[in-house]
Amino acid sequence: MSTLDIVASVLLVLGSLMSLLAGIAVLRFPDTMSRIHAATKPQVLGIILLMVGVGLRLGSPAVIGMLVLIVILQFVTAPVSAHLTVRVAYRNAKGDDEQATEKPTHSAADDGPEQMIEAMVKENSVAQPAADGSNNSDTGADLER
Amino acid sequence: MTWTVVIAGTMFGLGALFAAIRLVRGPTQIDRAVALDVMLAIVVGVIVLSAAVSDSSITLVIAVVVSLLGFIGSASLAKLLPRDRQ
Repeated sequence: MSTLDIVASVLLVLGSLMSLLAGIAVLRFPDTMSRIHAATKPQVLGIILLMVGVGLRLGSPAVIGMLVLIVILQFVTAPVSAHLTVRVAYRNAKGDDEQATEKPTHSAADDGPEQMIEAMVKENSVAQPAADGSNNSDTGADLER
Repeated sequence: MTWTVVIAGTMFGLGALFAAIRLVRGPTQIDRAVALDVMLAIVVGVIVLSAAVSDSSITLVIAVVVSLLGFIGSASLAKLLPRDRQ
């Protein structure tokens, strides 16, 4: 058993340890968000460790290309799928409040800049009335967008 | 390499078992989707481990397909699950 085999074995065991930790975390964590947080560990770090282990053991260029392909796929897709899942979980956790608070936050956002601009106009009305007017129209266009 | 297979296989099996318990028990559908995601990552790991043990690269193609399938399954579950209230 050469040194390369030993290193590959250690990496394979570490990668499988990630899967065990994710299983324990998915079973034991109290919250959906924390479960998702723990569940993405074997998908990226565990896969990388396993792929490096297999690459050290097999070692031909075609195999390494396929391993790099798997790693890149996991790197691109794991955060996206985790983000989609977390978005659904977050919206479900917010529940009905989202629909109720959507309108008031928008109107508050409409009110906030205008009040700020009014305060700026009051502050600078003597100094720069033209600049305030352009400022006001700019923020109005931004709000309409 | 034999001990590697024993240790890693035990860890994979325990992780898949815990994820399966969460899959059965999960209070919301999203918990079940997450447990399925973990199980699919474990499946990829087992395929890769078998490739490392048997010194053949044939099964790595299956690992590529399964990792793509995991993303498609998870994304479509997140998209198509009904919004349950609490």
